[in-house]
Amino acid sequence: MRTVALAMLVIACIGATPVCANDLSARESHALSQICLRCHAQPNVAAPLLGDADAWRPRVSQGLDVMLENTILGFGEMPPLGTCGYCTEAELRNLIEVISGIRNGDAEAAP
Amino acid sequence: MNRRQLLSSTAVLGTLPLAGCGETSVGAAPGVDVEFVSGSSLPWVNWAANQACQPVDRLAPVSEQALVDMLANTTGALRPVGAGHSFSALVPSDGTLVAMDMLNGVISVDAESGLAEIWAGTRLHQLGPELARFGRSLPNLPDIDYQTLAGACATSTHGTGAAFGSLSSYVRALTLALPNGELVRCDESHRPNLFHAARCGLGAFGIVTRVTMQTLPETILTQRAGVENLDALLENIEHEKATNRHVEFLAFPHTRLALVTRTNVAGSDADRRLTSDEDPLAVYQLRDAYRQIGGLPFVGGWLYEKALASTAESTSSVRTGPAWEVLTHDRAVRFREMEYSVPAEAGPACLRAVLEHIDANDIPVVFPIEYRYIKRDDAWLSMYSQRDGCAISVHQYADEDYRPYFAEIEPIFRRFDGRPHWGKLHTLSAPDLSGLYPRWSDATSLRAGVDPDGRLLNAHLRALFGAE
Repeated sequence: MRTVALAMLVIACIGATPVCANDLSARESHALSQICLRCHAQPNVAAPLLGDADAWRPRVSQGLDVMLENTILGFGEMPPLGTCGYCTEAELRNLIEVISGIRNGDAEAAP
Repeated sequence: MNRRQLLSSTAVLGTLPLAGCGETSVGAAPGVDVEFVSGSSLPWVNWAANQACQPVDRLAPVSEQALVDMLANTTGALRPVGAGHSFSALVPSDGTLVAMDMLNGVISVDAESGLAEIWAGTRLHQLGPELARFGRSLPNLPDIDYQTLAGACATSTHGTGAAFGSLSSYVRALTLALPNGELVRCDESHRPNLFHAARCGLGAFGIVTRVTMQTLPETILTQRAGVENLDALLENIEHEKATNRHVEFLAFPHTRLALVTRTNVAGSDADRRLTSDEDPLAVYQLRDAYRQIGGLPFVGGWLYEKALASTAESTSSVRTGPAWEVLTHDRAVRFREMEYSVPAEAGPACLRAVLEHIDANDIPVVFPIEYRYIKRDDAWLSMYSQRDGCAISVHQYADEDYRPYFAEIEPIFRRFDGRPHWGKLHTLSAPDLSGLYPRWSDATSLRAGVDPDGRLLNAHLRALFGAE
C-alpha cells in the first residue's frame, strides 16, 4: 500500500509539474526514480515533496548553490548525497532543479 | 510510537518547573571534516555523516563488461559503494568508488525453485514490488529498505525472526568481478569457498554484480505493535519466539518498558489496509520528553516511565500488507549505531546487563535499544555463522557524541561473546575477530589469494583482516 500510494503521488506530482524525461540522462533518471523519490515522494519523512512548490519555496530562495551544498554534505534529516554514490555535481544540480521545481518554472532560485 | 500521543501525554508534565533539568550534557557530535568546493571532485559522505573520503574517481558501470574492463585496465585502490548506510568505515577510499546502481532490477525468477537472479545495485525498496510481480518476496527484510542488495548482503544485514536468517543466508549464487578483472559465478558447487566467503564479504572478495536469492511466495503479514512491560516480555521470550513468525522490541532506557512488534501471517479475513500511524520522527520526542521530565530530582525517572506507559493503549498499531511493505519502516531520524550479535540464548542477560549499566552509571541516553533474533547460517563471515544470534543495537542521535556511550556498552557485548555488525560502529580488529569466527583464517587466506595487491582494501579493512 505504501508503494502504491507512493507511485500515485509520484504520478500526480509529475503530472502537475511536468518533468521532461528527455532532460535527464539515464543515470539521472535512475537516481530520481530509485533514490531521490524514495524520500521526496514519501509524505511522512519530513522531506519536501516533488511538486510541492510551497514546501520548496523557502529552500529555493536560498539559491541553488546552497541547496547543492546541503545535498552533498547532508542537511537535517537528508543524508549526504541523498545516498547516491555515483552522482556528479552536474547531475545533482539537475536533479535539484527537477525535484524543487526550478526546472519547470514552479520556483525561481535566488541569484 | 506516535509522537502526537507521546507529546499529549507529556504536555502536562512539561508545565512543571525545569529546575535542575536542562539539556542533557552532550559533547559535540563527531562528524566528518569535509567541505565541498564547486568544480572540484565531490567528497563521499555516508548516511550518518560520520565517514567521508575524497575519491579520485566515482564510477557506475552500466554493464558487467564495463566493470571488468575497468578492473583489468586500471591499477590502484577501489571500493564498492552502495547506499552508504554503513556506519563503519567500509567504504572510504582515496582511490575509486564503484557504484553498481546502474545494474538494477530482477533479471529472472524460476517459478519452480523460487530462485531469483537480481542485479547487485537494486535498492531493497525497488526489489519488493519487482519480486511481487512474480508472486515472490524475500523471506525476510531488515528494518529499512534504503540499501542496495549487494551492500546489504555484504554485511549480513538482517531483520528478526528465530526461523529466519540474515540476507546473506538466502544467497544461493553470486557473480562477482575479481580485482584482476575475472568475472566469476560461484555457488555451493562452483568455487564454494569463494561463495561462502563472499556471501558476507564486506566488498573485499570482489565486486558483486549479480545475486541469486532464495525467495518465498508473496505473503501477507499482519504486524502488531504496542508498549509492554519489558521484564514480563523477557521472562516469556522463548514463547514469543516460538509463537510469532517475527518478534522484536525496542527497550526504552531508564524504564521497564519496551515497544514490542509481533508479525505473523495475516488471517484470511484480515483488513488489508496498511493502517499504521507510524511517525518516523517520533524518536525526537522521546528525547524532548526525557529532557523535560527525566532529570527532575527523585521523581524524574518515574514520571518519564509513567508518560511512556500512558501511551501504551493509544500507541498500539496494526499494519497488514505484503511482507516487503510490513517488515520495513521509514526511518527519517539520523543517528549512529553499534550492534553486536550475542548467542541467542544470551540475549536477555546481555540486554539486562546493558540496561543495568546505563542506570547504574546514569548514562543520559534515550534512544531505544533494539533487540532481534536471527537464525544461524554457514556464510564464513556472517555474524550468525554457525550460531543462532540475538542482535542488540544501541544508538545515539547524530547531533550528540556517541563515543562515551558506545565505549561503556561495547565491553558488555564482548563479555557475552558478541560479534559486531560489520556495517556498524565497533573497535575490534583482527586479533579480536579471529577468535569469534570458526572459518576466520580460511576467509582471510582466501581474500589474500583473490586480491594479493589489496586493491579492495582500505585502512579499516586492513585492520579488520590484519592485512599489510
